[in-house]
Amino acid sequence: MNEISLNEKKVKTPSPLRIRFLKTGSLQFISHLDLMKTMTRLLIRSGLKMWYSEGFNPHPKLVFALPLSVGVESVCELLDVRVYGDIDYENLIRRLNESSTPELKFIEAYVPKRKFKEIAYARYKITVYSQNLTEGCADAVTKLFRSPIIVSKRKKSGDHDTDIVPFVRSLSAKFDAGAHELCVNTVLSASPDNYLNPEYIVEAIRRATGAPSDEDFTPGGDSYRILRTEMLDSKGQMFK
Amino acid sequence: MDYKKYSQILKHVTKPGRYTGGEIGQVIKNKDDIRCRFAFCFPDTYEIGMSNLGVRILYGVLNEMPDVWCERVYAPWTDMGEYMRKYSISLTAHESVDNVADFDIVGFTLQYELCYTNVLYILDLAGIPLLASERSDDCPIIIGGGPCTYNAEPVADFFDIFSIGEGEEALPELCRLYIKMKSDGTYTRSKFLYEAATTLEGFYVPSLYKVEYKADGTIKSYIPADEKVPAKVRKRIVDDFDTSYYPTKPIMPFIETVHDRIMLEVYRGCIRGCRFCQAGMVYRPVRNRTVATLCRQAKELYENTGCDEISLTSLSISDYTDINELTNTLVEWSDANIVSLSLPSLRADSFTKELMDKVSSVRTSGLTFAPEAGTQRLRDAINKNVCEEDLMRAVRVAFEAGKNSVKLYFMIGLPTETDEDIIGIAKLAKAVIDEYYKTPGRNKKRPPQVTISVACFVPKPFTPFQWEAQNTREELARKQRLLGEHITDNRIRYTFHDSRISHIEAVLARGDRRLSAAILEAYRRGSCFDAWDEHFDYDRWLSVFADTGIDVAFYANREFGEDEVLPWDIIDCGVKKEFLICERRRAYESKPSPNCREGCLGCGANSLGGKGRCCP
Repeated sequence: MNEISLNEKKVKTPSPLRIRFLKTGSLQFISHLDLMKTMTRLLIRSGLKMWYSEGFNPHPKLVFALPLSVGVESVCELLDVRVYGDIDYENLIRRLNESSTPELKFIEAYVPKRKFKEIAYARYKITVYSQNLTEGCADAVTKLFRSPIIVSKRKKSGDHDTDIVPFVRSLSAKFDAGAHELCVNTVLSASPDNYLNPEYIVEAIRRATGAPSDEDFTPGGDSYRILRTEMLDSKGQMFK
Repeated sequence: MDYKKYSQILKHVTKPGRYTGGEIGQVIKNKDDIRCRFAFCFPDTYEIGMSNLGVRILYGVLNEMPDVWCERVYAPWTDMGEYMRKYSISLTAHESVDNVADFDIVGFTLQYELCYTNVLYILDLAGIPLLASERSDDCPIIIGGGPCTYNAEPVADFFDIFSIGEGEEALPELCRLYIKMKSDGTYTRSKFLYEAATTLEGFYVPSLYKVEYKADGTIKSYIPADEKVPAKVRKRIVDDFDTSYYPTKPIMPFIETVHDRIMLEVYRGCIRGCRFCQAGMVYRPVRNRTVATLCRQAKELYENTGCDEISLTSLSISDYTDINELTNTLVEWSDANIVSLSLPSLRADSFTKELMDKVSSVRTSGLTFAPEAGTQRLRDAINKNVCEEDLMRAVRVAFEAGKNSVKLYFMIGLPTETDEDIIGIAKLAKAVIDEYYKTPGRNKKRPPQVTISVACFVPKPFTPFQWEAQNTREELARKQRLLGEHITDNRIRYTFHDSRISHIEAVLARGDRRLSAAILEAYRRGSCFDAWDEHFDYDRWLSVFADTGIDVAFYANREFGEDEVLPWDIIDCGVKKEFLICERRRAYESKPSPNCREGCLGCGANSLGGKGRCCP
């Protein structure tokens, strides 16, 4: 394991490392804080020689690109950590996956070239399942976004009525009548000051179509899934 | 819980991570290889249950058996419970998501009396009949274990069988018997229970005993069903504690749990023999793990979990014979890996600067001591064996090292207690403040703070104080007020336990079988999660007791007779009644007793065996 001692670590300079991973399935219910704890332990177990903060409570410093809300899945999460020595990226990913679960899967590791603050947007795929969805529901959704959609948005200073449409860069909807599924593809603002939680889009879909129900949770009844698929820069190019 | 099926519900409950399972380290087996499926229930929330060391050990022990699959079950929080009832969702086990009702054996660990209604809550959500007498051959066997089974009589009606004592060897034996009887076709529920009670050691089957009562309400006798049924059930201990199974690949919970750290079980039992303490009696004899074993386990646990805190677990860590060697070795290794060491259960009389430096070598942690009583006279009576000089020396060490706050635990309502003893608590807290100002190297940046946390004495089975009456609620409240009046210093923070909770605890701790009806009625009227302040309803408990004909004072506030048949006399925990009586006499004389290493008092626990025990 970590053969290198604390003192030796201070002498050398740590270098940045970026790790891409996915957080899906039941892991969507794990909060960001809990994810940080699990991630720290997985990184320690992988044998990665990390830089530790100094002071009373030394800990490795993990920086996440864009924390996920509980209930949102993702296939494009990014995490930065500072490490020592030469890293065998493939070996690291293999070891991380050996001690993790398939729902928290590591994809690749590399030296980051861009800063997280360049992230401006995130792409989401929102799937709503309901027997009550009818032909035309996709049009109803896209039509709704042509005029302001006022929601009560939670901010530090309390709840504010806010129009969410300016935060939506693009949105398209498609209905699969056979599967009773409405699929909405959307790119939402994700910069630190203008982050839009994709749950508001679900709220808007509900206004347009009546689904998914927020009262009846009968197993097998209405349901929805939010999947983050990409992070984008201000030009709409994929951020890595 | 199957997140795909129930994702909408999970999006609307608090802490959904409690229910999803799928944690790193959980054991998944192929059902085709399994002949006995064991659901291990912790009758409280996931966060508390996941922290329990006993569950971790037994989960590991059972899953070591290739044809047994042990899974976990926790009590869903009330919001989830409501949804489950509304949508008729059965309680499932964490790993397989199969219904608990379809398991072969369903086990409950009974850690505290206030979890009893949660046992019924879990059985109810699982769709299993609450009363053992109403279960058919198709129902799982419901077994209980853990500290409360030293007097399991109040829940006797709900359980088919109890495992008394340490379960590492007993539970695999029970599973073997189950598999054997299932495969040779001799299994029926009653035959299995009879075989377990008569051929295995340490199993108590309440239905095999008839209880007769005297006119005054006390117990006349326990009558075994036949001569093969043991008159007393002897507790089990593992023969060789040092080499016994210990889980080094524990489940890593995703969400925050109460004790989220590596736990090393350093030794079992306690040499001290405080007269109010049940754990100090029922876990005897004292048995150590060797430093070599512990260090190997610590390394394996660190490598398998990546967890950066190690807690040395025992009833009183500084009484471990090789504590210096152990902490030296661990600190040497853990500093390099940036792992911190925490030592709960420190005694003031063995707390040293050397020990504290090791604890805070990486991270700082708070300091807590438990003098338990305010005067030397009462500390001698309860056999706490800590004197004021010990405490002052200990806090001085802490203050010199720059600490400003100390937490002290006390108990009120102890046998032989007078108002002088209560006022002594305030005086002792003040003396700690004074000691701060007398310490030259103190941290002057902040004023000192002493927190005193005061619990109410609850008489517990198998202690020298088992016969004692609990103070009435009025008396406890008066003592709490009296203490409050004598705390005038705003650097002393005073908190005390709710005497109403302690009162119900006393009834349940010393109750007999007649209490089962009351517990069932309390559950039917909505009692659940009683250990949680926001759910505990004292008045409901009182009205339930009144309506079911239970005299609360008979169980809580009455002095039991030494010649009386006690509900827990059916259990033999190793420690003899004569020893407990002798210790009780010494308490009345305010005389302490030597600890197990200073001199053996012949409590009887040595008759249980156990390799490397501290007694002759």
